[in-house]
Amino acid sequence: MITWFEKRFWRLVRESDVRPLGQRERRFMDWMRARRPDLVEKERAEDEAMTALRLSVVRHDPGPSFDTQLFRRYQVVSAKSSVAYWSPAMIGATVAAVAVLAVLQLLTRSSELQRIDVAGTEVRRDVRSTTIFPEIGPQFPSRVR
Amino acid sequence: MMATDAQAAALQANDAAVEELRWLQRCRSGDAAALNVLVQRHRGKLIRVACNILRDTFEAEDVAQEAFIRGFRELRNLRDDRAFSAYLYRICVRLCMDRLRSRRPEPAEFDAIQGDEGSAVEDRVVIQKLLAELNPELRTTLVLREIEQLSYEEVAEVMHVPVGTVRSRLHTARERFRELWIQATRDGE
Repeated sequence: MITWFEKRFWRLVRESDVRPLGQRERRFMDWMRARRPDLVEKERAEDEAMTALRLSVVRHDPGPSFDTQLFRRYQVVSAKSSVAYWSPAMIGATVAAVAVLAVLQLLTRSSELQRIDVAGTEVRRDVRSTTIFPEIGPQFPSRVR
Repeated sequence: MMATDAQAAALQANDAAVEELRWLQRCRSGDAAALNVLVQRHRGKLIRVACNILRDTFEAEDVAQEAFIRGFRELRNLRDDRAFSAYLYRICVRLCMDRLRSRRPEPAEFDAIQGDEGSAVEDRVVIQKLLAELNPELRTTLVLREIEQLSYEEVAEVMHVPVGTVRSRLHTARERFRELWIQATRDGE
């Protein structure tokens, strides 16, 4: 279980990274180090680990193909995005052009279209005026006198 | 004498900044030469940070290229041209974190660290395995602070989190890294 003292110790270890510790804080740290050798051990291990981390810097010089590859990628991405940007407008323009052409075609060739004479060819319903129940005839309600 | 040197350095830095602004203006208007100059100026820094976070030179080059492409394409979103370098750096770090998140976790098997016999290359491999045990946020925070030597505020800005979060992540990352280091060195003994 981590005690309040231990928490404070680690907090001060971290803070010593960004600011100089005060006299009381330094005294507390020394007191803790004297009392808890396991903390000293952990602190040492952390220093070691951080030093190893800092020494493990990866140095890499990009090859000559880096720039050419980058520019090629940039051109491809630019081309793709401009296509994506303009394609709705292009599609719209194509559809409008086709529609205009179709209308023009209809207007210019309307006189050439064959007329269909439909007079007398339409279908008609043969409706006779009959009552639904002729044998019954019109009836009046019995209460009516 | 020292004041003169400092003034000269400041003037030189100012000249470089003004020149960069000019290149950026030209880049905005589609000048390929300006693009080339900006790539030459910043590629070293981006590849270095990507290498240190990802620990893979091939992937680091890929991420650096992607950062440049994204940076140039979204150049109009950059409010202050003087912050171009930080802007590219931020994009690169975020892309690195995305790559780390998409990686599959590998089972950790630590090779023993052989006291004096261990070469720098072996140590590097062990460090790579230890870093792989940390989650992307902790790993990136630790690398930016310990290897890139950024201040807490700079780390917070790059990772787009409050300074308090950086503090707590660093605390957790160091603690976890220490435990893993102790485990690795104990296995080696």
